[in-house]
Order: sequence, then structure tokens, then C-alpha cells
Amino acid sequence: MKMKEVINPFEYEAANNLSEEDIINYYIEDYNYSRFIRSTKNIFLIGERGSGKTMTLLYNSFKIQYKSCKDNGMQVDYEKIGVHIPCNTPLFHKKEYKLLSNEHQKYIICEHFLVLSILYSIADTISVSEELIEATESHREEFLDELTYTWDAAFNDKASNFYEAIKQYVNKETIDTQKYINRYDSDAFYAGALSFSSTILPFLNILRRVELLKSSHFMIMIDDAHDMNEYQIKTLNSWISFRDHSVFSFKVATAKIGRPLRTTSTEGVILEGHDYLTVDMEQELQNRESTFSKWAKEIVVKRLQKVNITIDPEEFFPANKEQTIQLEEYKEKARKIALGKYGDNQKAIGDYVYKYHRAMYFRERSDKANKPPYAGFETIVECSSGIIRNLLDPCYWMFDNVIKNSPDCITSIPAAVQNEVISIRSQRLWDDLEDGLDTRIPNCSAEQANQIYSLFDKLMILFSQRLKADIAEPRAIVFSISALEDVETKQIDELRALFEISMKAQYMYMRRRSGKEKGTQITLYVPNRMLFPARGLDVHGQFSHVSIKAGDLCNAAFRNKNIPSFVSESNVKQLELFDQL
Amino acid sequence: MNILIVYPSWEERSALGFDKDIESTKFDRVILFENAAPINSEKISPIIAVIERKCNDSKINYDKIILDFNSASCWGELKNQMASINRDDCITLDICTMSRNLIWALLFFLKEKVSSVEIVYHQPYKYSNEWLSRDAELPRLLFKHSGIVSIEKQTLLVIITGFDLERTKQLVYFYNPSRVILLIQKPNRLDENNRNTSKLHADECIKMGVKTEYTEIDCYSEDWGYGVIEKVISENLKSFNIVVSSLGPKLSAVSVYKTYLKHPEIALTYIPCREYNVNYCEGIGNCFEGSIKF
Repeated sequence: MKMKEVINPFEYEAANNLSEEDIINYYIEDYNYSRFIRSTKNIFLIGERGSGKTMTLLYNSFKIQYKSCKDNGMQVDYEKIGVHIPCNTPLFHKKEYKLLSNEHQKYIICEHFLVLSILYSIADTISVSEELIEATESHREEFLDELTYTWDAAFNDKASNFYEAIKQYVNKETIDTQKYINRYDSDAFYAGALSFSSTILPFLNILRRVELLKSSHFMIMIDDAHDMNEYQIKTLNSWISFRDHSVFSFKVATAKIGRPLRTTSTEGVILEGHDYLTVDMEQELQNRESTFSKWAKEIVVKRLQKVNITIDPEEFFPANKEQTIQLEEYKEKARKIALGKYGDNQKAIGDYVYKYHRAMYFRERSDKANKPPYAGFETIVECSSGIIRNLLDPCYWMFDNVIKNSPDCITSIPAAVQNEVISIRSQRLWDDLEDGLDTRIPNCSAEQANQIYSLFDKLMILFSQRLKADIAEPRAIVFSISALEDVETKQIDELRALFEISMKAQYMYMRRRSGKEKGTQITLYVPNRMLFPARGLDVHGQFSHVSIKAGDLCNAAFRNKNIPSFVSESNVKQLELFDQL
Repeated sequence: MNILIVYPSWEERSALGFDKDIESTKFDRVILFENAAPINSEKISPIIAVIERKCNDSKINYDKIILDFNSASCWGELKNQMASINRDDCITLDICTMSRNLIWALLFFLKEKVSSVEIVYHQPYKYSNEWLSRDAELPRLLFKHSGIVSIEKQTLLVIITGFDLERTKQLVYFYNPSRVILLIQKPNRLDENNRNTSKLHADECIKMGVKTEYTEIDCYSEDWGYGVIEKVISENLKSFNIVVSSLGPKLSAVSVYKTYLKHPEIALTYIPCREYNVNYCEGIGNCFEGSIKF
């Protein structure tokens, strides 16, 4: 058996597979919303794969916090006990509940597996602390007696400690349930199923009788909640609707697309602001001062330090020199034009230069010229579309390219290598799109795959025309959808399905931004910026968006028609329908 | 009673294989399963009509059973249908165009009725060089074969790879395992475009950030690859929850089931697809015969 290993600081490893040391070393605590995690509120963390949800939960889990405190000689904080529960396990993918005809029984068996997972994770999490194991031992007999009565359970007297006894019990119960359900003659129901109120609540109350845990708040971190089945989701929502957050709260990480419904098992609804808060892990990306850019820089610094490279990312990934000089010249050109327009109004001049100098560079390039070079750390960050995994991917291939030729001495990634990698990665995205997403994305038909290709093709034509036109916002590469009411509902549904598939395939991202009117929010759609280099477009966007009529998007996708270029940038109108995407 | 169970598709070898089956053995009864929403249905109906006519001509009892694979009730329907099997019946399963989930489900129900099942598989003459499958649904764990999962263990995904790289990627993406072991067919059979190579499949998994190993398997060998599959499973069962998928040669699906019988802790997964290339393969090639004992 052979194994291929590549040493590269940008190697992407799913957070679940990282060592505790790597989580501590790689995680950047600033510039994101992880502070919400440590509150006692119920929180939904939403974002697509690679946006850092799991990493955020894991870093804030008690296991990692405990190790971090111990490694740094700090006092361990027992006030918040974060318990990480991964849902992307075969236990959550079991479908035998569907064999039951009784809805109530489906809820019971689905809750049972969820409760067992939570119970095991609580015991496993706490048992990392020698202090807690020791503090619990004096209560062991009393606690186990109580649980024997409450859960009608039997525990292994020979378990090394209380938490080990709990873990062994959970394992046995989990295995017994599955063996029973998988039997030929079983109808897939298990009469001894456990519930949250009869299992987890008494357990947490018992734990709080341990001196060190007497005022602890348990943060139950449900990761990849979109992998739970509908019954588990409704059950979880019912728990979230509990009003008392003093002992426990839920931190739920889930994908944006396919985000679980918010109905409870009693057909109630949990409400944003009332029952929970939402944190969007995908971040706005406008310029080098944006929060994401700062976050991205720190991540790359840490990754480089891991292989003893202490060079600033901007030096390590230098921009193309010739292009830098040309862009400076265009800044000067733009400044001169702005001076004529705005006199000594420095703010207006600065805004004009920011908006137009890059557009002028692209506009004045000969149609026969090669594609512009794509290099520089800022460009790599822009290509990521605000997703950490997209940031690490080209860096990995750039590093890989250079390490092959000079494995011992890497001081930078030449601009030409960066350009080559970005061009290849960009073309690959287009090749996959042209080959058809139907071969890759579940529940995507061949017809939809063609329509998605057409939609993105027309969007790129639109952005290209805008970039080269003398208009107010030439570098707006984000769009909102307007005039939904002008299109038939059936067609809107079809368009909506295309957007969902595109987002699942990570060709498109969705962001929420405050609207111009107070208290309103608009939904923006962000095409993956890695699509842009293959079309010679600028990956550096600006803080504005294009409003595209739903009818024009339908024409682009379903009738292969170009999107009118000079649509109004005001009058952004949203309908609730797309808010649900 | 000699009973033949078939699940015809639009492929030529469905009809050609059936001819060979009834030439080689005298069957008393044919049970034909048909998908309630078949793919490339316009080409399947004539094949089913031919099979039905041949059964009538040969005075073989014929039962056609329509299954809705998108409904959980399909499981109960299969159980009911298999209830008619008697302990002394001799069952032959023609798996050549039978979906993996149906093969495994039938073996599960037949295990309760008979002590062994004969398996017959007709290879095609050649495969298409075009796309094979599209519009896949999410991977599923087979009912009652979802494994005996231990909460403390991580997931190992074992894939017997096939021509369709996207299905390998889909499984890795869906199960997000901590480790993948790919079992790749060697020597190359009917794969003119080298679509089932370690370079393609293992490299893709590594790019997805998963620790990946690969090893060779010959599903056309005497044991249909069982030895390799069983070794990989038994070496890793203590450390991992194992999910197994058979995307490669159809015979491997039988070997996977034999492994499951030995290690019921493993989970069996499959990916339903809504579209297959109507020119997926041509003609009929070698015939493989074997049996599975319960």
C-alpha cells in the first residue's frame, strides 16, 4: 500500500482532521465572530464548506481551550465548557427511521442517536481535564447510582473513572440500538430510546454538583447540522426554543445552502433575535482594509511561520512589477481627471482614483493583448471570494510549483508562478462548468448544468462590458436581483434552483448587507472570483453592486441571451423569495 | 424450484445475458424487477417485453415486480416478494445490470430463506468513452446495512473505484472521512481511456484534503477481489467506523456483501443516479459465475 505525502504549509486539511496543536496554531482569534460563541446565547454559524465554521467551534471547545491554557501555563476557565458534536458521521447518515410508519416513533429514534452523541461528547470533553476527573471521583458512586435510577442504565464498575463509565455506557447503548435496528425482523424502532430531557438535562445538573463545574455553562456545539435528518433538526430546534440559557446553549454550525428549517417538533418556529442569533462566517471582501483581508493575512503569516518563513505575505507573494508601475501611472491619470472634475475636494478625488484607475488599466489594454497578469497577495485574497479554503488552494499549488525546483530555499513565489497557477485554477473552474455540474453536484440535471454555464458566461460578459465602459461603478462584480415580480413564479423557482446548485458547487456565494433604508437588508450574489482571470477580468471588486432584473437573469440562463450592460444601479428591490436561498 | 432473478436495463447485455442464462440452466420461475421510474425507459420496455415472451415460450413462470426505489416502502415490498421463496429453492441472481443497492437488499432477504445464492454476471463487450452517469443523488447508506457505528471512532471510507471519478469525489465530499482507502482495479479491463487509475482517483482525494491510500484489486480474479476487500476491512475495523462503496466492477458488490456477512459492523453505501448514458456499453462479453453462501 502506498501513501503520498506532500509537505506544504498551505496543505488544506479539514478542521476535524487537524491535531489539537494545529488548531491552536492555525486559528486566528481576531477579525471574526468567534466572540459570539462564548456567549450564553444560542448561535447559528452559517457558511459554506471551507469558511471556518468547524475550526471556530473546535477552537472554542473545552478540549482545545484546556490544552491551550495548560500549554501556556494559564489558569483553566471552567465557566464555559464547549462540547463539539460532529454530525457528519455515519451515525447521523442512518436512514432506518424511514422504515417506520409512525411519525412519533421516527422522532424518538432520531432523538435517541442525537442524545447519545451529545452525551458521549460531554463525557469525552470533560475527561481531558485531570482536575475534573479527580474532582468527580468522590461523587462517582452517588452520581452513578442516581443515573442508574434515572436512565435505567447499568455501568461498568471497572471503568477507570466516572466519565469513562459514561462513555462505555453510551458506546454499549449505541451498539445495542444499531444491532437491534439492523435485525431482519426488527421494524427499526427501539423501545429503550433516550431523550434530551430525561438524559442530558439530569446529566448536566449532576455535573454542576462538581465544585469546579458549579457555575459552568455548557455550550453544545452541533457541527454540520445540515447532515442531521429532518426529525433531528426539528428536535434540536425544540431544544433551542428552551427559554432558560443558564446551564446550556447551542452553537449550531451549518451550510447556508440547505440550511435546516427552523420549525420545531411541535410545528412551532424558532425566531432570530428571540431564540437565537445568526453569525455569517463568509465575510465581505472589498479591499485590503477589509476584515477578511486582515484575517487572511494573519492566516498566511502563521502558515509560513510553520515552515520557518518569516517574510511578510505581500513580499512572499509579490505583485507583477510591470503591472504595479502601470497601475501607478493610471492612478496618476485618474487623479488628473478627478482634479479637473472636483478641484481640491480630496475625498472626491480619492474616491475617483479608487473607483477608476484599475478600470482604466483594463479598459485601455489592447484587445489583442494577452490576459493581464494575476499576482500579488492582495490578488490572491481577492480570488478567494472571502473563503479560507479558496485562499489556501492557490497558495498550495504555488508553493508546490516552487518547492519542486528549490526545495531548500523559498523566499518568495515569483509573480509568473502565481499568474500561471491562478490562470490554471481559473480555467479549471470553467472547464468543470462547461463539462457540466450535473456530473458533480447531486440533484443537478444536464439541462440545469447547461443553464448554469450560460448564466455565468453571460454574467462575465456583463462584467467585462461594464469594466470597459465609462460608467459610475465599472468594477462592481457583485449583484442583487430586482424586478422579481415581473417574472412568472415558475420561472423564478427554476432560477432559484440554478442559484442553489451554483452555491452548492461554490461557483456563487450569497452575502447579506444593510440596505440604504434603515433596518433593511439586501441579498447580494457574489460569483466565485476565481472565474474572472480566465476571462481577463479584474478580480479586485469595489464597494458597490449591480442590480440585475430577474427577467434578464432568466434570459441569460434559459435563453442564452446577454444581460443588458447598463442597468440602473439604484432602485434595488428585493423580494422575500430569494432571501430564502 | 430453480428461480432466476433479473433486473434488466437498456443495455444490450440485459437481453443477451438473459438468453445465455436460460440456455445454461432450466429455470422454473423468473422474477423480474423493474424500476417504477426507470432511466432510459424507452429502451428498457422492449427488452422486458422480449424477456416476458421468452418466458412464455419456454413455459417459465414469470413475475414482474415494480419497485419504487425512491420510497422506503420499496424495502417492505422486497421483503414481501422474497417471502415466496422456499428453503429448498435454488436462486440465481443475474447481477449484470442490477443496481448495487438491489443486489445487497436481495442478498439480505434471501439470506433468511436459502443457504446460498448463485451469481451470474455478463460483462459488456466494451464501455463507452463518453460520460457514464449524471444527475446523481446524495449517497445513501443501505437500510439495515448502515453499520454498527462506535461514537469514539473516526470514519474510514473504502471505495472500490470505477470509471466515474466524480462519484469517488462525491463520496469523499459527502462522508468527509478522516481517511480514504481506494481499491483500484488492476489489470485494466475494458478501460481504454484509463479512467480508473490511482493517479486520477487518489490524487483527487488528496487534493480534497483527505489522507488517502490506495491498493490494487482484481475483481475478475477467482475470488472476485474478496481477499483484498476483507483484508483492508479486518485491518482497520478496530480503529475506524468503515463505510464501503462499490463503484467499480459489479462483481466487487458481491465481494463487498461477503465481507459484510463476515463483518456486519461495516456500512454499505451507494449513489443513485437519475441519468446514465444510453450508450454506456455495447454488446456482451465474458460471463462470470460464482456463489455466495450464508
